[in-house]
Amino acid sequence: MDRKPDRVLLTFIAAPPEKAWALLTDPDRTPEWFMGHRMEVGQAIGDRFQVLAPGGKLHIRGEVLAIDPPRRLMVSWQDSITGLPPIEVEWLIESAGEATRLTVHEYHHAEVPEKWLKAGREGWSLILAVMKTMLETGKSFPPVKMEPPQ
Amino acid sequence: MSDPDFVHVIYIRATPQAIWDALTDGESTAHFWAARTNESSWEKGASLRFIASGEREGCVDFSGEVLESDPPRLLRYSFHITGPGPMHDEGPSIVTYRIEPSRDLTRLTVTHSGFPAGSKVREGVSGGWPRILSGLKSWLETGQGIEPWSRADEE
Repeated sequence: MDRKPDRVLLTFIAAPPEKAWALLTDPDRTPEWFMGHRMEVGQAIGDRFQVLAPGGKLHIRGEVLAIDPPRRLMVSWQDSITGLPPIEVEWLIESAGEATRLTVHEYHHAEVPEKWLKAGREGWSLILAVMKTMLETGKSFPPVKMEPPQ
Repeated sequence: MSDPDFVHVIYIRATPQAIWDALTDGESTAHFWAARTNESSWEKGASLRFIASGEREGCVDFSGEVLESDPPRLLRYSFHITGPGPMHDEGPSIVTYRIEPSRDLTRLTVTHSGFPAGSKVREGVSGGWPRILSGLKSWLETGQGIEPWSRADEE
């Protein structure tokens, strides 16, 4: 995208980009890093993207806007909780020295209230931390439950 | 006008004390902070220095003063890049570590604040903190730091 992202989160991981991509896109492994959610990503532009809450309820829906394994995935992202217009979420996986940089970008189309900005920062920070631990140690984090803000 | 605070949150599978120690014991930072060690008692009012190793062995890269210290929960200090240069001329900014336990995990929030408008220091530390904190997490969880630095990151 040419425009600047509205939110940027990143972490550096001692694992190759291919492993980070596999963890990001394998739906059976997503619940371990996505607070119990199952993320399903199609393989081509225009394919379905969706996130199911624990229990199977559709939580986020969208479609694949860009996909270039193992470097880049971008999806439209309409969640069922905030009532905000859809955003785009982009993951970038790049080599950085001896490590791999995993970046999350969000592109917003409306003012996002502070409580959701804060919840998003907490959620993504936890997700990136769990993915990093899984890739570096092979172990998962103890489960952490995050509630949406009231 | 001033530039916004920089905030980075990371969750680490380690105790608050282990995180505090890694950040303040003087030697551990060499494994995750671009090979820099540090010197301070980390008590309120104490001075602090971060020191390069390798080719630039002994150079003080930045210095400051401890403004608030509550081990292992809170540390706040002033941060002044050693001169000469525009980053030095911006004057000191403020770094805060907030360390909060959350069951088996610890949440570390680093807030870097007090930047002037158009700050070069903010631009620099925005690239630096995610690398440092990713390295800290690796160091504590796996016993090995990471080197996500290239020469360009330091310029």
